[in-house]
Amino acid sequence: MDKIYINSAYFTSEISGLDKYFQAKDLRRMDIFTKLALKAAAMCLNKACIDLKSEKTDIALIISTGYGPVAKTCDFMNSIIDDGDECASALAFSSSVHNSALTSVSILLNIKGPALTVSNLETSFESAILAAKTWLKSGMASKVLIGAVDEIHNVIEKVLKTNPVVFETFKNKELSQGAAFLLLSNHGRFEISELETAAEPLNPSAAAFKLAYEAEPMLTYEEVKRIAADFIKTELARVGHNIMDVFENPDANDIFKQADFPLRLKIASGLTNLFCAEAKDIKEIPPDITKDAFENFEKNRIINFFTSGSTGSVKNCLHKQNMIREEAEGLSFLFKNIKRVICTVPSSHSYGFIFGLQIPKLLGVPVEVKPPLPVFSWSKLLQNGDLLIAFPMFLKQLVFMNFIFPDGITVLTSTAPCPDELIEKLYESKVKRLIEIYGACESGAIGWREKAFAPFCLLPFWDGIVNNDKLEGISRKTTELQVNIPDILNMQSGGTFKLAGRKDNAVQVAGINVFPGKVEAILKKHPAVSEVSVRLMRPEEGERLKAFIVLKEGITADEISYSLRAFMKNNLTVHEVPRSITFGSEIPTTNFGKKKDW
Amino acid sequence: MKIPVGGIGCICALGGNTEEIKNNLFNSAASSSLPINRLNSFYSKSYPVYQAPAEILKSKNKDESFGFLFLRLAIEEALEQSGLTKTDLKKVRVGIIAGTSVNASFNCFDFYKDWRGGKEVSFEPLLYYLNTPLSRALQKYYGVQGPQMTITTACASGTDAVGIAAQCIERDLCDVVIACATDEINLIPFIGFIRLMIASSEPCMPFSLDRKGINLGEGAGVLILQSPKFLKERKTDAKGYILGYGTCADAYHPTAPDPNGIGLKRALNMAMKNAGIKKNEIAFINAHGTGTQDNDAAEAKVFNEVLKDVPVMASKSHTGHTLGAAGAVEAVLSLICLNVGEIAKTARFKAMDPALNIKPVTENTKISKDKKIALSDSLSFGGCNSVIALGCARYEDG
Repeated sequence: MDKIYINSAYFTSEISGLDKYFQAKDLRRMDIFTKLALKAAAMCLNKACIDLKSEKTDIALIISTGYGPVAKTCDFMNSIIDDGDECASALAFSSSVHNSALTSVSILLNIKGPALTVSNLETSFESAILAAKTWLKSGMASKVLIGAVDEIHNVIEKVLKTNPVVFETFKNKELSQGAAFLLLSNHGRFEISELETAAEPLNPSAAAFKLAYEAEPMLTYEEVKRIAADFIKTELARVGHNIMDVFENPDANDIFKQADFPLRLKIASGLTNLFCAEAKDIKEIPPDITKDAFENFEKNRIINFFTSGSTGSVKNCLHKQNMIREEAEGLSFLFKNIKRVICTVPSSHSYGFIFGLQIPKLLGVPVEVKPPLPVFSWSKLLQNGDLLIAFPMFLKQLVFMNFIFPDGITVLTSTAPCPDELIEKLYESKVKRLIEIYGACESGAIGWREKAFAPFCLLPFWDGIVNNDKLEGISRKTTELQVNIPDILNMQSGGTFKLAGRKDNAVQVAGINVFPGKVEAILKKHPAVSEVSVRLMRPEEGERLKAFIVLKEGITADEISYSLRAFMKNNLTVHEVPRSITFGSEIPTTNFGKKKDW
Repeated sequence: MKIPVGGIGCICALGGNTEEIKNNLFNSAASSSLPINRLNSFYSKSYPVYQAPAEILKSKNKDESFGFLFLRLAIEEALEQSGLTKTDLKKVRVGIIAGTSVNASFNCFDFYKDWRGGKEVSFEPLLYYLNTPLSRALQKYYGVQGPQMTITTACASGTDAVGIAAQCIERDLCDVVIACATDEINLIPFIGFIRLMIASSEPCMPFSLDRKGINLGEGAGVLILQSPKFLKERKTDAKGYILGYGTCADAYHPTAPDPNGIGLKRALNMAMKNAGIKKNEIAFINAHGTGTQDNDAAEAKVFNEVLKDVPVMASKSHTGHTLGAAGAVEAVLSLICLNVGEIAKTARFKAMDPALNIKPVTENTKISKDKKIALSDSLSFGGCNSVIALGCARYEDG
């Protein structure tokens, strides 16, 4: 009966980006305390798709603060001490009352419903929840925007630090700064039952932060739309659609219409797999694929970076919200001082998802999505402080063009192994820092390195299972994810490891695992093929598979060339199709009878 | 909503208990102080304030603030009126909803000035600020563990405290709620209001043509709210009722009310709807009536629109502006008037401001027996408008 629900949530400890929503004149004299509250409140409404400027008489506003605007209170006291009573700052006084954050939030977000400020040290937010429940249940408001805000005030910080004996109670406690807001109502998905007291002395907003963190949706509708659009673009590009046409169009449903029916069905099926807890075949195309994807996702909140695997059947790689968070937070130490993310990797790919979507969200930095086209205009696009997310192939093309990176660019690459030579060349091309991530769809990121020929460091959110100096398996420290490593990883000193090949003999073509053995087995089914050998091209030949075929007696290459190409197109994926075919009378072998290169 | 009030307690410039306050209210016996020896300010000799009685101020313990002292004494009186002891409170679900402004703020000017100047300081004021939110200090003092909240909606805190306390009883969260608010005269708001040019160098004159602004006051107001069931079980009488509560934001200006009073009008309508009452049942409204140009103008506009011909009382002319305590102090004063059957006159009203077209009650005025309801409103910095509807002790008599 007394249940209330969280409709949206936002928390922040910094105040950037307010100028996107509010005029400079409104922000000019605003203190950090109020800006923190305003940002969290505005973003919380934004997430609930509520227009910031429209008049809101049915939304109540409750702000809790443990300590209030202490900095402004000190400003006012300073003005009395420095300038005398007659010249004390009236503005500082009006901003020194606990109600000051509520004032600006209500004015700038046009909230005209019931409004309240409560202040009760570390239990402030619990008091606010009590008031919110009371108001929702009494019908005083249909929704309550409730928040907690506090700032770090150097006066108290200094006094506490310099007088540890007097302030024994606060020993080892850190002052915190930030704001967390939640939009509550009588209906919704995320229920608040009994508020677990997470509040700590000197960190009065902790309870609000914890709740906002738990209620934070893994993906918003806008984000699902972006992922779906990236997935469709990738599929269209794969079958030869013009890459620029595809990338310039942000509307997933619109791009989707460009595909023919079998491809549309394949894409719809792929999207269903990506946003469902499990892969499943579909027979009908939903009328609105992004809406369908979001509804699918909301049922379980699990993202499935499924792979086709060596057998051709779909393999689920399920990632729950807590796993994604653990990974993003565990990676964030790599990205201090990053100001913007430029992502050329689709967000439907596990790395694009983490580095191009979750990491920028966590860091609170903007992200720009660009197609991976190697052109010189990249020098104008990139800015000091950017993190460029790219596949090795794109980076290789840039290096081939003798592209010189502007100052202060960090490059992150993953998926396919980044050759040591490429890493060296990227540093020669003035990349400030190159981060290579080693990982897999099942696990997400596992290890990282910055230098060519260096071993990888196991990322801090993993515990490794080592057997005979081999890293056999890994398990997450705070979530249930456990993975068997698909590669042979030799442990080195200091918890680092080196890659010594794949356990299942897969090779990578354009970042995708393909299995030469499987391709051989399929080609052998062609009625004209007697024997076949498939392997990866040597670097000077290219980056695809090649095949050596021995035909059955009496059949010439010219005769079956056309039918063999058609057979491959129908039975192999784009990445599996050999780029070059050599015909001969016998498979090349070594003196020991093992197949060899040709 | 019909929440019984078991007892009331109050401290303000009118007196140290409700009996003294009742006598002094109808005799307009309170007076402002000048100079103010407690405040070391350039303005101490020029801006009067309404202090709590000297004997109350003298009784402060070393480890408490004046604000806590006022509250402690007023709660003692209210509990005594309710026939409740500290032991009784430990047996039932007791909530504490407190309002304040100064008592939640880092307004330790002397400490701060000395510390900043590198002098050796006593850290007591800071320890008090870091360890003692009002409602939790009261919980500790009375040994109770129910819902608790300290409201800091500036000058509307007291009215909100009473309204939310009543809602806690209505929702059956508590058997008893101590609804209270307190504030003490402090250098920060004293200088702050003067610098905002809304303080008066003369005793305040709410709604009067020549009004010049506010005088600070201090004190505490307490209402012991009880569930009807609890009141019936204990076979005690109600001293009055909380009938309705409404609150709405202006979203207009940091320190000035919306001149059209739209937020106040909505809060008034919300409280009246919540109480299920009509204008002709209302004996009077105890206005916020601070004596500033803007506040009185906004209130007058709304009263003329929503409460035309309802008598207006402006009790800050007797108590000064007790800031966070004002709503609770005025709720107590309103109940006193309802139960005495008389509206106390507004002191020093000289001439009607034609722009306001409001004349508050200037003589103690009898309330007709069929009118058992009063409203009390508060407007705060930040544009919070809160209103409560109160019923007299014989409200249930029919």
